Order: sequence, then structure tokens, then C-alpha cells
Amino acid sequence: MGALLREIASGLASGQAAPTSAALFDLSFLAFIAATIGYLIYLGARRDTAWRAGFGCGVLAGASLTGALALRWIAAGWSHPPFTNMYESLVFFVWGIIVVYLVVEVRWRVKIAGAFVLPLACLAMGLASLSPNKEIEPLVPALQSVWLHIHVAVASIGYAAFLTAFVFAVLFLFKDKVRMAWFVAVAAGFVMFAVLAASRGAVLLDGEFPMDKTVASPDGWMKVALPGGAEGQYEKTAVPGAGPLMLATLFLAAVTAAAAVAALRRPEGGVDKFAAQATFALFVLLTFTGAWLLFRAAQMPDTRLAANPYSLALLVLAWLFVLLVVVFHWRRDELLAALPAADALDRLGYKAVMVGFPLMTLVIVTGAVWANKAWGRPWGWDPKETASLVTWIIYLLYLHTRLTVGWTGRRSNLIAIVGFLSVIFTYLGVNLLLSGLHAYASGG
Amino acid sequence: MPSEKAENKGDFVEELLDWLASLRLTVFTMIFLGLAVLLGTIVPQIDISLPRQALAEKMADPVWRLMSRSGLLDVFHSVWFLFLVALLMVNLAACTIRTVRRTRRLVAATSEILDDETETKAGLTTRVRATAASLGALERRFAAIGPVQRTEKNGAVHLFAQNSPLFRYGVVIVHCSLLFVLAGALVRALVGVEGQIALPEGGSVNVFAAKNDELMRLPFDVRCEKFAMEMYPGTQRPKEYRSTLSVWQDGKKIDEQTIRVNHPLSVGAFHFYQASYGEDEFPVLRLTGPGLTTELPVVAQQVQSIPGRRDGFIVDQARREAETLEVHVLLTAGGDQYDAWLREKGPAQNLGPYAVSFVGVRQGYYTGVMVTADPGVRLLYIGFGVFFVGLFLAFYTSHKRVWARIAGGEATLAVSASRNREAAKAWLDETAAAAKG
Repeated sequence: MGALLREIASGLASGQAAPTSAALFDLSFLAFIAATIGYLIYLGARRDTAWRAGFGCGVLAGASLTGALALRWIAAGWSHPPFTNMYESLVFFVWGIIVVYLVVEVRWRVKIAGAFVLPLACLAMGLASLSPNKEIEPLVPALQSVWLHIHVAVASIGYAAFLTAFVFAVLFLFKDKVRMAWFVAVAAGFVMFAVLAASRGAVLLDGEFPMDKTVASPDGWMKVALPGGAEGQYEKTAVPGAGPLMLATLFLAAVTAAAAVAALRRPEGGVDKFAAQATFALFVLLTFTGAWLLFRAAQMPDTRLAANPYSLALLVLAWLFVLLVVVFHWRRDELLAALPAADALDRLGYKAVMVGFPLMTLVIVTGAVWANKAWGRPWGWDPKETASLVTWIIYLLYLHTRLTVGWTGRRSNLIAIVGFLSVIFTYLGVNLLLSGLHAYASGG
Repeated sequence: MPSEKAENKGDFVEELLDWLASLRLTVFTMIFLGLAVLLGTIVPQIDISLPRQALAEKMADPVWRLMSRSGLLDVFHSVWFLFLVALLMVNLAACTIRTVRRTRRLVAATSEILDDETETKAGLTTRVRATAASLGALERRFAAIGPVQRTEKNGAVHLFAQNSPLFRYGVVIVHCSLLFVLAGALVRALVGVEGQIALPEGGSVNVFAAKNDELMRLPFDVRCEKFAMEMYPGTQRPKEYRSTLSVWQDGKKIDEQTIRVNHPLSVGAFHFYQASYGEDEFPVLRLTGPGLTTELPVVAQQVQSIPGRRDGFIVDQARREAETLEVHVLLTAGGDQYDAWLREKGPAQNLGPYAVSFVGVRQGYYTGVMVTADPGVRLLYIGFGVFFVGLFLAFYTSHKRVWARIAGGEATLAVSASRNREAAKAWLDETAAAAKG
């Protein structure tokens, strides 16, 4: 810690922007972890000291990340804002999360949501720090536009607002005492989607879990193997042993989901317990599989974890969802007591969507204006464009049903959850499953 | 009985409007649009730059023909997709008309005195003891909302104020903006054109092949004066590529600009975008005709135009005959077609009014330029702007109406707000406190 601070101070004194930025990033990562721990302790023990420490670390994390991004921007020149590859995009997304979260907490006084939002920020920071290529990359011509700044900045903050809305929606449903089996069904379903999407179906088709290779390009840039052959396949290699483990995870997730669905058809009772136990088993297996994947992939000479950001992000997100359900089940009463009233959570989620929706609209609008400048068409039904439109329509439905039909509560919050799943698909899934024009965001 | 007939007709119009504005129609349209978009994303869509010949070959396959005819290979331009978009527009428009009428009725029916009915409908009411200072205090509070109207009736003093009823129209304005956006999309799909041209340095063109190989004519000639590209030092990453294009009309240069990615050139209704580039060998032809001598590097298989004329030609084949390169030129002039094989550095041949010779082959870059004309984009941008105005009104403003009645030492206050009931309640509480003195 002391060494880190000295490095920052000397970097600032000597005017070296890039290394100082990296040191500030590390400081921010540490602060995020500390803040997460603080909020988790607050969630468990309800000590105000823990919250104060967590909040302080959150502010520090946000401030140092702001500094890191600003210095990176300075190091690259004005035309080149710090969000042009996957590493920078993730870091900027985290920045959006922490800014939105701090504003939400200060304005609306909900301390407890930090325990749910900050782990997600930590996850994204972790993924970003795995990236092998943290150098500032020159921009390809299509990205050299002022619209890049607005488009990506707005997307990061908008997605962060939707993430906040999602957390409030989940907490609402929990507080509203929605049956545990519902959470289990959704989490297990998401695990199935994540395993299939992260392997692009290979787990089921070939019994393998492949990862993209990193190859050194002739000019020395490390990058993900680009679609090479005539079929447009990525160059990939199977991670030894990961295939059967992933298949087992998939199978257990299917069993868990089936158990949850079966439980829902009967009155609350023993079946729910079975579903919950299956979830716990799923959590253990998923943790083991994930650890195995990280361990083995790290040993493979030509595969870098960071060449697979979308796969990893999806898997870790699935892991977090399952963890959330496990926590919900085993700490049910404590959590129920700690949360604000259900209608307060409902309103907070609504307010977050009211921030996210105009921003999402602005993302689409700036994207259209930019596409019209660069490619001569404002809209081309590119998969990323289509996915963002679908996301927008889901949140439109959320607002519409609230404003005209007067939907609040469960149905409304369910839409917010579906909306965020669509955000995940837009941000991660599209780049994994469909090829398109936003491919430059996937470079390692 | 004419009056009854008119009423029936009114009923019919009302019913039709109700049906068109119905949520059921919205859901129906959206589901089908969703399915269409899904199809368009999953089924590989036809490449608009596919040459006519390749298209014809594929059309021989009956399955392919059926898919093509039904619009499956070009979902987003198919008749039924555009019909669904139009249906959504009608639905949105009908819904908007209905909302506007309802809102206008509601605003017009606002009572300026606080009678019992108004009090029940207002939603938020409170009563406080009134003093001599109450009236003045209330008038000041009301004036902050809008112009205060004071009425005296049956010994009671009534106050009324409201802010702009426009604040009630946020959602309506958002709907209108979506109509603009959809209209822009329809206009683009129906009358917009786009196509690709490849221009070697020194090449000139006034036609381009749009969708389905249909030839579109430009009212001017575009010439590529210069193409240049730059890599980032020490890498294979392109930093910039740019083409200097000049625009000619009636033999005079009317414009010259350098285009880059993100920086297109606009001439009248047409826009030229830097899309791609490449390297190739180009046959150079010399054309001599009445009042014209020009040398043009040409791109094989692409329709070429003769600068300043409506005549055009295409180099469609090349062959080597006894070590000498020969190209086949197909030329259209004044509605007649001519063709000839031209030998490299060989004699000129007469093709209609032109004498054409094959000067040689030049190696070099060509610039890939995308041409579009899209009157819909303006509607789209208007829609974007209007959307945010509407969203601001819908999210952050509220049409507030406030009433007060002072009679017999008691003040009754009532508030009605189109949104944000909590803020309205807070205002009411503060006003009640102010009225108490």
C-alpha cells in the first residue's frame, strides 16, 4: 500500500501519466475490495462503523479510478478517450457503477445495496486486471470520432444505472417474499445459458470447453485470433478437463432448474428445500469448475484468460447469481430485517430506470448519428444494434406499464430483471454469439 | 334522419379509432416485428453488393427463389416488414390522437372554483383554520405556480392556479417523436438509395449500382483526385485513409473535398462516405468524342460513365492474345450498344460517337466510396430531438392545478398533479402551514 502511494506520488511529481494511471488503478482495485468487505460486514452485522469504512473506501475507489482514467486519457491525447478496447471498456463500466452507486446511496440513503452492487464492480475490476494488453492502443479510423466519447460514456453510465435498478428489483422480490424456487429457477437457467454461451455450444456439441487463443500478430500487438478461415471460425483450443466439468455443471443446473419448476407447482414446503440444496450443490460445483478453468487456462501457454472476457464475465456473473440465491436462502431472516420496505425498494428501482432509460436512448441515438457519419446508414440491424433496441423496448415496457396501467410490485420488477438480462446479452452475449460491427470492443 | 346517421358515422369512426389505438394491436404488431427481426438476424441476409450475375445464378434454385420472393433474404426491406412498421405507426398515431383528445377535455373541464366535485376529483385535499392573513399568504403561494384566478361565489372566496398544461403532454410528445423516427425509417426504405463505387485515382463516375444492381445516375461527375493512406508507425494498423474527391458539373469543378472515415462529403441530396480501399490493376482507356478527350482508369465489371455525358460503358472481359492483353468493352451511347475487343497499346476503335483505345495498365490504389441519398434521415434526427424534449416533460415536469376556498374561517386546499404525487403532497403541506400564518 505504502509502495503504491509512493509510486503514485513520484509518478505525479515526474509528470509520467501512464505508470501513475496503472498504480492508481491498483489502488482503486484494493479500495474496491476493502469497500466490498465493509459493506458485506455491514450487511451481516449492521455496524455503522463497517458501513462508514465501506463508504469511505468506495469514495476512494471511485476517486482513484477517476484519476486513473483521466491520466490514461492525458497519456493518449484528447482524441483518444480511455474506453476503446475491452480492458478500458470494463474499467469505464466499473467507473459508471461506482459513480451511479455513490449518487444513489447519498441521494436516496440506501446503505445495504452496496453489498450487492460492489461485488459486481470487483468482478469487473478483476476481469480488467487480467487483461494482458493494458497498453494504449491506437484507434482504427472508424473509432476516430467525437461520437465515440459520448456513445461509450453514456453506455457505461446507463448500464450502471440498469445494474442498480436490477439490484433493487431483486431485493424487492426478495423482500416481497417471492418464493425461493423462483430465484433458483432463474439463477439455474442463467447458469445453463452462461455455460452454453461461454463455450458457444461446444460443451454440449463436443463435450469440450474451448477458449480463444491469443496470438501475437506480425506487428507485435497481442490480440485475439480474429475470424480466420472461410467459415469465420475463431482459433480456439480446448481446456483439458474443463469439458466434463462444465457438462456436469450444465446437467446439475438443469436438474436444479427442473426441481425449482417442480416445486413451484406445489405448495411451499419440502420440495423448495430440495431446490435450495441443489442450488448449494450447484454453487460448489460451479466454484470448483471455475477454479479449475482459471487454473488450467493459466498453465496453457497460448491461451490467456483475458482473450475470453465475455466468456469469463458470463461465467462469473452466473456464479454471483447462484451465490446470491445461496445467501438469500441461508440468511433469509437477517436479510429481510435489514432491507428497507418493499415499496421503497420498488420506487428506488423505478428511479434508477428513469436515469437509465434516457441514457440508453442516448446510446442508441448517438450510435445512429455516428453510424450515419461513418457508414452512411443510421441503422443497419447489426446484432449489437438489434440487441440494444430490444433492451430499450423492455425498459419502455417497464415504464409504460407503470405509467399507464399502474403496474408496480412483482410484475414491474420482473420486467426490470428481464431488462437487465437483456443488458447483459447486449454487452456480453452479442459479442460471444454473433459477429458484427462492434467487434473492435473484443480485442484483448 | 340525418342527425342519427351522423351519430352512427361518428360511432364508427370512434370504434375504428379505438381499435387502431388498442393495446391488442400494439402487442400483435410488436410480436410480429420481433419475429421478423429475429428472422433477419438468424437468416443470413443478402449482400446488396452481390452482382447481378451471381444473383441470377442463385435465382435458378427454386428454394432460393421462394425465400427471396418472400422477403426472407432481405427482411428489413420486405413489403410485409414495412407494412408492420406502418401498422405500428398507425397504432401509435391513433393512440396519440386519443390521448390528446382526452387530455384536452380534462384540461378544458377544469373548474376555477373549488366545488364539491372538484374537491373529490383532486385527490389531495386538506383543511386549515383561516385567519385574516390566510388569503394573502395563499395568493403568494399560488402565484408561484401560475396566474391566480380569484372568484367570489356564495360568500366564499375561491382561488385557482395552474402551471402549463403542456407539462401533461410529455408522453404525447414522446409518441410523436417515435412517429418521426418510424417515418424516417419508412422513407429511407422506400425512396432512399445506397450503393458502392470503386474509384481509382483519376477515375470519374456519374452512375453507381444501387440495390439489385439497379443503375442510379448522379446529376454530376465525381472524380477521385488522390487517395492516400497512413499506418501507425511500426504496425499494420491503418491510421487513416482519405480520398480527395472533386465534383464536376457542365465541365466545371464545383467542389473539391477530402473525405475520411467519419467525415463524408455531401453534394445536394447525395452523400459520399469513405468506406474501404484496395490495390489493383486498372486498364486505362482513352476516349475521344465530340468535344471530349479523356483518359480513364477503369474498374473491371463496374459500370463506368463518360464524364459529363449520359453514356456509359463496362469492361467485362480480359484475355491474353499472343502475349498482348485485350479487354472487351461494352459501350452504350444514345440508346445504342456497341462492343469491341481492344488491344493494349493498339489502335483506337470507333464505338458509336467515340473512338476508344486501350492505353495500358496502371497499378495502384482505388478508394471504396459508399454513396447514399436518404431523405429519411432528417425526419429521424427531428424525431431524436423531439424525443428528449418529450421525455424531459414526461419525467421531470408535472401539470399542477391548485385550488383554495375560504369560507367561514376555514380554508380548504386541493391539489391535482399529473405525476409525482409526493412532491404535490409536500407542496400542499407547506401551503397549509403558510395559510395558518
